[in-house]
Amino acid sequence: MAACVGNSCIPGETLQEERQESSDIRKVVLGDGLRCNIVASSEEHSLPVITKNGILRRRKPNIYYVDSYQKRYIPSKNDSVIGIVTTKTLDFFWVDINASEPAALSYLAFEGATKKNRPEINVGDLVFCKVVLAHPDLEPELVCVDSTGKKGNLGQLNDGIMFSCSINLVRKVLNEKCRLLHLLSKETPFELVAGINGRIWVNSNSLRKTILLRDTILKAEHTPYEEMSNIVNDFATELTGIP
Amino acid sequence: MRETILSNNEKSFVEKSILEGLRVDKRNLNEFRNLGLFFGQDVGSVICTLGATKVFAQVSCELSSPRTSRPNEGTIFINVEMGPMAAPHLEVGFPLSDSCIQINRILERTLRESRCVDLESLCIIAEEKVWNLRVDIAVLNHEGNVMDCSCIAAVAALAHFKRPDVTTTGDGEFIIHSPAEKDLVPIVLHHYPICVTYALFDDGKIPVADPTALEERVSEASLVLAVNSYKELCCMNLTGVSLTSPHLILRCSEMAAERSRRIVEFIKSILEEDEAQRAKGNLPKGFAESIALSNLPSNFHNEEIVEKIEQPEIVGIAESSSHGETSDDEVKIIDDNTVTSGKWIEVTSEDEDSSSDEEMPEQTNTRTSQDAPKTEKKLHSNESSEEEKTIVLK
Repeated sequence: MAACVGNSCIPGETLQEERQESSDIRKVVLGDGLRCNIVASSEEHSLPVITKNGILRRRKPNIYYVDSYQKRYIPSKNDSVIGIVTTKTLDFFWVDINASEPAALSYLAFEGATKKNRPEINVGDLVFCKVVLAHPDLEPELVCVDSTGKKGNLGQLNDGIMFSCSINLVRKVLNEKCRLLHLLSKETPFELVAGINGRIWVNSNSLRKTILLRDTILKAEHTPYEEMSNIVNDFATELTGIP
Repeated sequence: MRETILSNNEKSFVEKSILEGLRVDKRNLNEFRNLGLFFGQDVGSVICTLGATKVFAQVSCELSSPRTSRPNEGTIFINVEMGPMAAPHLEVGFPLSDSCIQINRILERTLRESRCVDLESLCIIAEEKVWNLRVDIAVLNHEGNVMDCSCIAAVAALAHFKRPDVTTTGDGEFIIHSPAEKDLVPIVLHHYPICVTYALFDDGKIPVADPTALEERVSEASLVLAVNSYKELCCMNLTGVSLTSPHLILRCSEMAAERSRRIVEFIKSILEEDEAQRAKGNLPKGFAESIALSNLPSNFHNEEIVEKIEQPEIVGIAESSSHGETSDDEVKIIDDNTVTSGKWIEVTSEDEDSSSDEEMPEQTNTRTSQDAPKTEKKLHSNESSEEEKTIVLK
């Protein structure tokens, strides 16, 4: 069975339409839901096999992935995630990132942290961090600094509300085609952090506004891109009267 | 799977917003989520939805011998199941989780110990054969307030259920008629007790109606009141750690009584609709409608929270007693047919918004006083219960 781009696919189907359009491309990038088994003896690759249900997508020039509705997060390197600190041990915070295992966040992985100067984070706090190690056999490892040792946007999240949603919604909100956040920011100032692990954190200067923002973002899940302005208009009308 | 730890941000946000009279799903403190009731093809099968919470209830009956302590009464058994389908952190099988046992126990107190089901009418031959009712409740989705949802489902299922008719013959035998021979007989319910849950916040000062899963986790305590449409308190349960006052409990019970009256009306209207559809031969086509309705929470109501409710007082103790007939003849089972079914009724969810809450105080006084005797007559026609004591809130 061969899967076609843009159609639904099921595990076991193979990807066959590679490299037809542009002969100069030598590499094909396999994304989520695709796997290529390497036959050790001959240096040939087997055809890429689909490993989950969904719609096969292609991004130019040659990236293939399977798009499916998903709530469970599978860690992968360089993802930005929101975690909840569940335990503190001698050297690590153990952080729940909605994955099958808790992730490790070192005390030293914060800006300006030393052995004596530890970050003040308690159990139950939210941290926005990056995944630096995502190996199937090891716990994922997180950091709250970039490669230059600066924290950037990463770090602890104070106040506001965090809510869980499907990973598709987070992708949708972050998608360039989706003008939701852009339109919302024209209406009112607010802070938003979207963790690709299916968690979104919002904060604004009033509780009611934060509640409305949360609701609008959750509504976006069932709204097509073109109709985003409608839900933002609804948000704006409900917002009137709130300082 | 372990339950995800509650983050400090969520906790403090919920607490702060409750203090300001706001809730995360945009409801008022006194507002309930949309209620939906859907009957299945079989009698006594119901899906109840309360917002995103969804519960399935099925009543069944079988013949068994009565308890020696109560030889002329049938029995009622309640079984609640909450598995990982309801929420991933819930475990399946034994040992049952604490929350599951708690819900089961409160339901038993509400349905069995309030004696709302006329158990004597379930007797076929005293000391020998009685009907044994079984209410199976499966929580399909846990999004907070499973208690109310399962109670409504159980009551609606009991009201919807019909058992085969039985005739006793003089020579000590009995005949169980198939639905084709004789119409099925409904279970006699004296009253419909409805559980109403309040989550308590701010040292037990603020009651929040119909808490969501998040609010349940943040709240200090939860107060479950089972009230019937005659404003009789059937069961009360307070769990958690919180200071509370008799004042608050009385205020909550008054609000619960109003809520209960409306739900009972709702259940009755839907039962009637279902009955009419079944009479026409339109069978329900399954529970598809209940799925279409479960969507994101909506409806923002800006009305002020109804806080001012007259102080309820405990006025007195009502006693009712009547005599029932029991048949002492002997019986033989002839037919044990399954139940054929009627028609599907689709129910749009009832609005429990605060706009109608404002009419609450007057309605309570006029309506219940008129309606109660009428329904009572109908319900009590077959009644045969012992003395029952209930507190009346006025």
